[in-house]
Parts: sequence; C-alpha cells; structure tokens
Amino acid sequence: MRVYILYIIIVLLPYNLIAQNSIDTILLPEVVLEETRLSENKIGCSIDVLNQKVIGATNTQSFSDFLSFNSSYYVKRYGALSTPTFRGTTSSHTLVLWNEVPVNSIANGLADLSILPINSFNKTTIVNGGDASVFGSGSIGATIHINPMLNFSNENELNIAYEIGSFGLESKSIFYSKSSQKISLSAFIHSLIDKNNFKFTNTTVIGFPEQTSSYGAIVSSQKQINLILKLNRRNMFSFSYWGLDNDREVPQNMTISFSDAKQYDKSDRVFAALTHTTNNLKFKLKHSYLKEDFNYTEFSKNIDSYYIAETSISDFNIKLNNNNKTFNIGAILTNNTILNNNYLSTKTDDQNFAIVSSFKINKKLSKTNLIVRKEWHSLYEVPLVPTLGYERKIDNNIRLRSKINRNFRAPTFNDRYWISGGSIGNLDLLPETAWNKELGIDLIYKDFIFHSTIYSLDIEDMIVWQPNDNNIWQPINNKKVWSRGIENKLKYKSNKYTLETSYTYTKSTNEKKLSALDNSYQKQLLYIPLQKLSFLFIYKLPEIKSQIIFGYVYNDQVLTSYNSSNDKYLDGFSLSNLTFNKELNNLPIYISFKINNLMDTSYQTYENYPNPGREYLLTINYNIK
Amino acid sequence: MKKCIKKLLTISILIGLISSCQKDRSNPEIGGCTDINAINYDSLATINDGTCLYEDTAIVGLYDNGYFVTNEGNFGSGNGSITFISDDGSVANNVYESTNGVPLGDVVQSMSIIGEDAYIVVNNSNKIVVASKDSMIHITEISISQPRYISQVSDNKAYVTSWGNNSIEVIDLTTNTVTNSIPCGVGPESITVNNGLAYVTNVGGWGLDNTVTVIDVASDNVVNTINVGDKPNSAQVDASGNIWVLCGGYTEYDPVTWAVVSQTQGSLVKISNDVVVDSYTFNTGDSPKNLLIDDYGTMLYYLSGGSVFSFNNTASTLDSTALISDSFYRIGYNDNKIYGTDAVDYTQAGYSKEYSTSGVLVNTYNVGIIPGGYCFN
Repeated sequence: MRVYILYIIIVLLPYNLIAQNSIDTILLPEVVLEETRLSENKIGCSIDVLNQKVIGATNTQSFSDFLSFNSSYYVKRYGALSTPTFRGTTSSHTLVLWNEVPVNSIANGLADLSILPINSFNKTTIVNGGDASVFGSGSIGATIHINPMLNFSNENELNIAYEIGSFGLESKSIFYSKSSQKISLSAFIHSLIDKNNFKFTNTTVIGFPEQTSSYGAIVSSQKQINLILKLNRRNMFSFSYWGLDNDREVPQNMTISFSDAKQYDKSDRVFAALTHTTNNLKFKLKHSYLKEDFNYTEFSKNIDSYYIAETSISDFNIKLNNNNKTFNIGAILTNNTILNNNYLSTKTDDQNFAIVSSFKINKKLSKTNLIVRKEWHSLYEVPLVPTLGYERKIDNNIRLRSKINRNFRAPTFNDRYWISGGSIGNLDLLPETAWNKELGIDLIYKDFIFHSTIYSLDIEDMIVWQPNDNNIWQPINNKKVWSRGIENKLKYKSNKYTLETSYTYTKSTNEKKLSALDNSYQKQLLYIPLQKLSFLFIYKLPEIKSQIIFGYVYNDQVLTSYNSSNDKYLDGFSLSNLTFNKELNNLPIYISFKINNLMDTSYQTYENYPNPGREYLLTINYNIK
Repeated sequence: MKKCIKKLLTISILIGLISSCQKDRSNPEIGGCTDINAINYDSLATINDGTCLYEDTAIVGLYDNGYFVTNEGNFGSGNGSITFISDDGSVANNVYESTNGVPLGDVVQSMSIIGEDAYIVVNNSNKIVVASKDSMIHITEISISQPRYISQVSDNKAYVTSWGNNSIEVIDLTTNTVTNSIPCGVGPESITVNNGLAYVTNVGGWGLDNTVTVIDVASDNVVNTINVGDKPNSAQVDASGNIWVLCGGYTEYDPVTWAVVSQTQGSLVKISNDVVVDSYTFNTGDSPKNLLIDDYGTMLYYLSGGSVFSFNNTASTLDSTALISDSFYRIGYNDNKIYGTDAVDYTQAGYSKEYSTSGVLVNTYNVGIIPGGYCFN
C-alpha cells in the first residue's frame, strides 16, 4: 500500500493542458515497414512497445530478464524455465509471436523466454489483455510480438559483438544488414554459453552453507535471415527464417542435491509472404512452416521424453480501404502434426481453420474497430471470439481507449494425449474462455507521458491437472479466475535524460470452490504479486558519447500455498541494475558494462529455487555502417 | 584520443575495483554439530556452530501423545512437511522445519519411527532424513535414489524400497549408512515382515510389474518371487500369518480411439507359505490401494475410488458398499480409528479426517500440502 500511495503522489502532478506535443505524434512514432495484423487491429489496446535500441540493450540479456526490468510483469524462474505472467494469469496464457507466427510449443502451450537473447530482435510489442480475436488460441493475459531487425535506410551495417560475464557467460554474435529503397536484407548469427555457476546460500540445508550451482549450463545458438523485396510499386515479397538450438542442464530446487535432467530443444521457423496492393485493395498471402524438436531426459528416473512437432500455416488476407473505413478479412488454415513418445498414439495431428474479419472506422476524433473470429477445429468446438475497440481523443493531449474482447485457449496436445508417469490426457476438454474489459487513458503534459489502464478479466473452464479417483493425474476444465487491476506508466524525457516508471496492481482470485475444505476460494492466485513497481533512468552524456542506465524493480510478495489459518508467502524483493554504455571516439566500437543485481540481493521467484547474485557483463560491439 | 584513453583507463580501473569486491568463497565450511556424543551430531559438518544438543538439554516427549501426518508437498517445490496431531486435538504443522530452520525437501513420501528416531523418506530429494522422534531435531541424512518406504526388519537393520535402483537398500541402523542393495522387481513399494522374511510388493513404478519379492532378512538373499495380480501396491500380515497383497490392476488404451484395449482387474491376494491360496477380484476399472489391517489382525481396510472399504479376512466376497464414502488420497489405521487425507486441489494445504471404525467422522484437521501418509508412535 505504501508503494501505491507513493506512486499516486508521483503521478498526480499538477496537470496543465498546454503542451507542446500532441497525443498522435507521441503515441504513434513508429514507422510501419509492413502492415501487420497488429498494426491493423490495435485500437483500444493497451500496448507496451519495448524498444531495445532506445534503452541500450546491447548485452545478450535474456528476454525474461528484460521483461522483468522493463515492464510490470512478474517472471517466474524455476528449473530450465522462465515464464512471465500478465494480468494475473498463468504462464500458459501468454502468446508469443514472431512475425505474427506463434512461438509457443504446440505440445505444452508454453513459450520459454529464458534463453531468447533480447538483442536479436529490435522491437518487442506487448498487447496486454489478450488478442485471441486476431491471433487465436493462447492469447488471454497478453500477446508478445517479437520482430526482427529490418530497415529501408539505404545503409549497410555490420555489427560484431562479443560479451563475457560472471558465472561463465560468453556470447558471440554477427549481424549484417544491407538495405536500399527496394531491398532490405539482414542476417544474424549468435552463440551463447552460460555455465550459470553462481554461488548461493542453500537455505534448505542445516547451517545454510554457501554452495555453487554446478548444474544449469546452457549452450545456445541461433540464426536469422530476413528479407523484404519491393518487387514493384504494387508487389512486395518477404521472407524470414529463424533457427534456435538449445542444450541445457535442468537444475532442481535446493532440496535436491543431484540432478541429471537435460533438455534439448531445437526449432526452425520460416515464412514467405507476398503482398499485392491496388488502389484500395490489399492482398496478402503468407505461408509459414514451424518445426520443433524437443528431448527431455532424466535417466536416474528412467525418463526419456521427446517430441517432434510440425506446423504449417496458410494465411490469406484481403484489406479493403474506403475513405475512413477499412475492412479486413482473413482465412487461416493450420495443420499440426506431432510425434511424441509419451502420447497414446505416437503420431497425432489436428487441423483448424479460422476466419478473421475486422471493420474499422477512423474519424477525426474517434476510432472504432470490430473484430470477429470464428474458428473450426477438427477436435473441439471453438467459441466465437469478438473484440470491440474504441478510442476517442478529448483534445490534443488526452486520449481515452476502451476494449472489450473474448479470448480463448485451446487444450494443448499434452492436455489431450499425454500418457506417462501416472498421468493421462483428456480428449473431452473444452477450450478455456475469457472475457476481457478495459478502459485506459493516455495523457501528455510537456515532456511527460502517462498511460493508465484498468481492466477486468474473467477466465472460465480453466484447465488444471488433478488426480482422479484412481490417483491418475488428468486435466479437467475446473477453475474460474477473476483478475482485475490497474496498470500505470509514466515517462519523462528531456535532452539529458529519460525516466520511465511503472506501477501495477493485480488482484487475481480463484472463483470456484472445489469443496467445503477449499481454502483458495476468492484468494489471490499463487505466484501472482499484488504489486509491481519499476523505474528506469537513462542519463545521456553526449560530450563523452556515453549513457548511464539505472533500472530498479520491486516485486511484491507472492503466495506459495493456502492454509486455513496461515497462507505461505515468498518475500517480496527489489532488484536494481546499472549499465554504462560508451562509444569510442575514433573507432567504431561500443562498449557496454553492466552490473545485474547491484545490491547482491538473494531472492526467489519460485519456492526453493535460488537466483544469481551480483553479476558483471562486458560487451564489445564493433559496428560499421 | 589521449583524453579518451584516460577515460577508458578510469573505467577499467573502476571495473577492476568493483570486480574485486566479489568475495572468493571456495571451500565453504559446513556448520553443524561436530560432537559425536550429541544427539544431533552431523557427520558432514566441518565446523561446530554451537547447535549441539544432548539428551538432557533436548526437549523430550514433545511428540509422545499423538500421531504424525506426512505431507508430500508440491512436486518440484521442496515444500514437503510433517504435521503432528496430538491426542488433545491440537495441530502442529511443519514440525521439522520449525525445529530445524530448514524444509524437509521434495515429496515427503513416508515416515517410520524406529527406536528413538524418526526416519523421514523424502522421495524426490533422494534422501532419508533421520530426526529425533521426541524433538524432531535433525540427526543425519541417508542418500538413496527415489526412496519410497522404510521398514525395520531386524534389530540393527532396515530396508528401504528404491524406485531409482529397483532395489531394496539395506540400512545399518547403528551407523545409518547403506550397507547392501538387493535387486528386486520394478518399482518396489511396500515392505511387510513376517517370520524373518520381508515381502516387497513390486508395483511397477509408472509401468507394470506383478510380483512380490521375498527376502530372507538374515542373509539379505532373495528366496522367492511370487506372481500376484498386476501392480501390487501394499501388503499386510494377518493374525494367522497369511500375507494379504492388494493389486491395483492395469489398464492399456487403444492408441487411436482411446478405448480400453486390455484391462486387468485389481485383486486382493492371500498368500500362505509363499503360495497364492486365494484371490478376490475387483470390478473392472477399480484401482484399489493402501491396504491396512486392524490391531487384531482380522479386519483389512483399503481405498478404492477414494472411499474406504473393509474386508474381514474370513469373508468370501469383497464388500460392494463403502465403509466411508469420500475422496481420500491416502488412509491410515491406528487403535480402532481410521484416518483419511483429503488433498483438496493438490496444491493447497490438505486435510486429515479421523473416523471411528464404524465410519463416523470424529475430527477434521488442516494439515500440510498433499497429505500422503500417517506415522503412529
């Protein structure tokens, strides 16, 4: 509560309507290279654009670290996984899209962000509150868009980066791009070795000994190729490939001294798209192919689990423009095939077909967008998911936005077909459904920009795994969640420095009582902090071509278990980091020195899993344009 | 350029300074009690941290009148615990952690009291924690891969079933060390001792087995392997020396339609002189478990479909109506009382319920996460 009051004091500054900037120029600064479904359907959405270049993310920081510092989301880290939660939902309610192609595993529905280096993408956009009308299953808490580096700047660029850091981190990357008015081509290769051999205090062993995490090494590599070709005035061709290869040791919690768990995952994602534009019509044909190769072994427990999943998506969209009205209609056909040694039938597939249509009216002061998605799935009924978005400018400095939309998450292949280890899937599962309602305001005053959104999100038929009467774990649609809260963000920008602060209050409660003995009813969900606060301070020193960045984040305590008399919590914690970036005077070299966990705080985001203490990272970028 | 070099130098000095702040903490000392005469002597400790406790200083008899509930905790979270419920109805949760300042570990499977000590089997932490039964003060730990249950088989010897090794690990109770390993079937589960022989039910782990391994306790030799029903999970000895084995049965599904292809029924098997003399078959789809026997060695209790059933060892058929209808995870029996655990959603703290042998609910207690076993003094 104290934090909240503090925030109110900071935020409720005397407000003056006379300002230099207008809401349109500030809030829509981006140059759209290529129209996307997101750019077409963002009316009423609460959107965070995390621009890596602006805040100097030159290190190979992982996506999850980046998210936890630069936004108001809680990131849970345990074993090999690192998963963010948005708006009080669970980690499987976040849809990650690369070029609007799903990244989430079709086997378990999760997108693991732990080893996705942030510097390999130049723009991350987060749509809070889900976007299933546009992007389909899995988008309930949020949709994260990661987009590769592309431009038409008429420049060639070569960047070679080398980084070393504490706990055995070493990373190398090469980026090359060539662009003209007609073509934009980029290629990126990256490799990472992180031994993760950090020291921690084992609070589960008598005497609290200092131990070194000796199991948790990661070897990762990725490749990217991106191409956009403007064939002529009317036709454009684009192609992208992204390959990711990870090999890691999976650490256990501190009470388990031995682990031989290993995870290997490899993914290849590719798409080609063709766009044809006439005077008021635009056609886009896109075909994507995705392949995942996954293997988890734990030989001491006789576990050797693998899957190979293939997905092909054919997507055709027509856009019709008429004065201030836009109509889009798209048809998307998805084919999934998965071969899994833990499924009843080793080879399984499913198909779904979706029609997405949207109608947008752009007026001088208001914008309205109606989206309707109807999906037909080969195995289960998918509900109709509509969205209504509305925005209204009060004047040049104030904009109101609102959105009401329905979202859903289909049962995953694991939910349906898994059989192993005393667990069995369930073919009768229904998709989870959710209604999201939100109301937001964007304000500008002089050099301040303020965004605030209140929301209410109801999730029905949530899938949970529970033992049945024969003590076999099985998923059922048996949970109801109501999440509501407020998200605030304040930015201040001057010539010298930038300040960004965010505060989130999330109340997410269980709304279904399983029995008279259920103590979780109407209590906050486990591992969802009530409050989160973040500060980012960027100080520019142009005279020495340098930049200092300070980041601070506070995570409130989280519940770890319910009890009739005293619920258990993990303590809240604060983390800060400091970065110093410097461009050399006579050489095309940028140096970045970063200290993570500046105060050497020991903290847990998941019960009994330790985290690294103070960590030093040094990056050298050789960049020629 | 000169200026620039100077700045760079300054930065690198700064970096050096900050880096050198990092302490080198190799070869950490392990704090603990290093006095061999203390009841909490820790053989792993390298430095005496002043926590030694002796017979006269230790709290004695704190847990005399009542019983323990083992709570598995959430898999992977390391939050398994022990609850003590005293005869006056007061509940003390987390007794091990509140005494020792550290959690027990991941998946507290079971606990047995042997002599003056409590042997707590922590399955996924691959260890058995030995603590004083009177004070819960930590004494030592024994490393065993995926242990399930521990049973004293002779004066100085205990057997532990290990899923990790598919074996019986032999513990010398004087030194609390593993002295031998006896291979048995797949996924050995319960241990029942009768007439110098240990009967180990091989439940098959997550797969399939249908045997009981018989071990001569004196020599640690396997003397017999008895075929029973599929997935034998628990056994008891009755007043006449017969071994009763409860088998859960096994279901195989069609890979395409998910229809049940083959299903072996659960069964209650009676063994006399290492020969199966009787078998009572359950209905298809029932998966009975957790066989118990009363103090007189005549009435058997088990769990099927979450409800408690009873079976007199002279009855000719299985009872079709439950003694207690509920959705229990595990059950226990002691001194004319039946106990059952309710794990609620298998995430939050569960409940333990106490019944009379006629099935009347006496008390309900909020215990730890996934209560999965009882240990009576």
